[in-house]
Amino acid sequence: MSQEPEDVKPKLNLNIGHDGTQITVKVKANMKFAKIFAAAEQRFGKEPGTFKFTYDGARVQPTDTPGDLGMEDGDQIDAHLEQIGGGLWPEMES
Amino acid sequence: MEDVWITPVTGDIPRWLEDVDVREGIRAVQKLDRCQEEQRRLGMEADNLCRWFGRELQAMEVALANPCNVSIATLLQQRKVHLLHLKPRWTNPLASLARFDSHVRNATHLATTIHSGAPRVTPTSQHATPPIATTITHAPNPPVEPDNVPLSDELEAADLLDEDHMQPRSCLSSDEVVFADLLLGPEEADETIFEQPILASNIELCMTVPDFVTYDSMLTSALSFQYMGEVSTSHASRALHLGKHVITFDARELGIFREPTARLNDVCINGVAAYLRAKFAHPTNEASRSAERCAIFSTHDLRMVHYNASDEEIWRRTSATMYWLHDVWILPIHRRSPSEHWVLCVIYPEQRRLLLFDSLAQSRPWRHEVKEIMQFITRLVLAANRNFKHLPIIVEEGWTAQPVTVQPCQTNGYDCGLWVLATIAAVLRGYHATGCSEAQMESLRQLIYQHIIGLPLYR
Repeated sequence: MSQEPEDVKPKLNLNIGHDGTQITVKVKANMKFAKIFAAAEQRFGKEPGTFKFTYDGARVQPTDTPGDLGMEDGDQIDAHLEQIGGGLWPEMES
Repeated sequence: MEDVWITPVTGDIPRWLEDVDVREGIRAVQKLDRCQEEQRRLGMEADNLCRWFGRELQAMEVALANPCNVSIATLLQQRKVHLLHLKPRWTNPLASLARFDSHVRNATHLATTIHSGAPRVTPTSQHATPPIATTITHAPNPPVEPDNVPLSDELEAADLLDEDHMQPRSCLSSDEVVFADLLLGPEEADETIFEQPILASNIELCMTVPDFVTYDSMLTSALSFQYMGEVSTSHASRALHLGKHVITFDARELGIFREPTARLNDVCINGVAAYLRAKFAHPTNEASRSAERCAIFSTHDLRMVHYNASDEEIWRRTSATMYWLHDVWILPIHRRSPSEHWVLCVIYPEQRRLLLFDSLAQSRPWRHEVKEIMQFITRLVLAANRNFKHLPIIVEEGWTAQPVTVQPCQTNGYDCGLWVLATIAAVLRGYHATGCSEAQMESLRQLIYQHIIGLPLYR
C-alpha cells in the first residue's frame, strides 16, 4: 500500500492486442499515447508508426491520453497493421 | 570444456526464468487457452446436436407430409413427438431453444414446400450416423427435382434411416462449382485455418450470378451535393461523430482520396462505409429504411478467424454493430495475396446467403474465403446467443454463396477500394450491386473526397 503524495495519479494497466497476442502496459492516465504506441510497437517487434490503435472501435491518436478517452484499468486496445489494396490485375486466373 | 548451461547470460535474465509470477502466468494462460478450446469444442457438439435434431425432424415431417406413408403415419407421428420431446431436454446455454424452434419451423416449411405439388418423396437428410462433419452438398433451395425417385416407391419408416435413400441428388448444372466437394481435398492440408471441418460443409459456392441481383446506377447522383458555406481545404484531420464514437480521417486518408490513382487503406474503407451508413440511414434520406437494415463490420474483423480469437474478443469488437438486430451484414475484406486487394461479402443471414463482390471477378480465392466467412458467421451467431441476444440463425447447413458479377469491372491497379465502397453504398440503398462503370470511379473518388473534406475538423 503506497500512498506517497507524488503518486496521486493512479496507474492503469492497459491491454494491447494484435492478432491474438496480448501485452499489458502500465501507464499513467495523463501519459501521451505516442509514448505508449512506441513501447507497444517495440514489444511486438514492429517499426515505429506501423500500427494503428483502436479503442472501442475508434482510432486512438498519438496526442490522446488514457485520461482523455476515459480509459479504466484493464481496458483493451487493439493494434492493427495498415491494410491497403488496389487490386493489381492478376497475371493469370486459373 | 565449457558447459553451455552455466555460461553467464549477458543482458537481462528472461522474465520467464527469473520471475515466479511470470511462470505461473504462462501456465494460467495455457490453462485459459485449453478452457476456451474446450468451450469451442462444446459449441461444436452443440451444433451437431442441433443439426441432428433438425435433420431427423425434417425427415419425419417430409415423410408425414407424403400421402404414400399414410399406413405408417402413426409410427411416424410417434417418432416426431418423441423428437419434439427432446427439445426441452436438449436445450442448453450453447444450443438455445430458439435454434431448436427454428429447426422445427424449418422442417415444417420444408415439408410444406416439397409436398405442395404432386406427392413425392424427397429425402433431405443424411444421418443415423454420429453427427460429425459431412461433405454432402445439399441442393440450395427447395423445390428440388427428384425425377429419378419412383413415385410409387412407398417408403418404410426404416428406409428413412437408410443412408442409401438419403443421398441427396445434385441439381446443379455443369457450369456450377460444387464447392463442398473440394473442401476436404488434400490441398487443404497445409492451411493454417482453425480446425473446424464441420463448418466447411455448410456452404456451397456457385460461381453464377443469381437472377434476382439488382444494380444501383444512381449512386453518383445520390452522393452529389453542394457545400453550405465555407469549407476548409486544409488536410487537418476530419472527424465523423456517430453517437459516442468518433471516426477520424487523417491527412493520409484525405491525400488518398484527392490523388486519382492512390490505393485505399483500411481507414478509408471503414471510415467511408460508416459515413455512407450514417448518411443513407438518416431519416430524411430516401434509402433510410434499407440502410437501417444493414450492419457493417470492420475490414479487420475477419482476421479474428485466422488467429482463432476468443469469444470475448469477437463479441467486444463486433457487438457495437448490433448485428443481431440487422438482416444485412456487410463485410469488407482485405486480401493480402497474390496482390493487395479489397473485396466485399454481403451476408443475408435469414436467407443463409452470401453475395460476393470482387472488381476483378476472380473466383478462386473465394473457395477458401467463404469457409472463413462461415466460421466468422458461426462465431457471431454463437457470440450473440451467449450474450442473450436472440439470433435464431441456422449455421450448420444450407448456405449458398454467389458472386454479383463474373465480369471484371476494374482494369487498373488502384480502384478496387472504390468499387467496394460503391457496392457498399448500393447495398445500403437497397440494391445488391453497383451499376457504376469504371469511368465513374474517378468522379466517385472526388465526390467522397468532397464529403470528407466537408466534415468538421477533429478537435
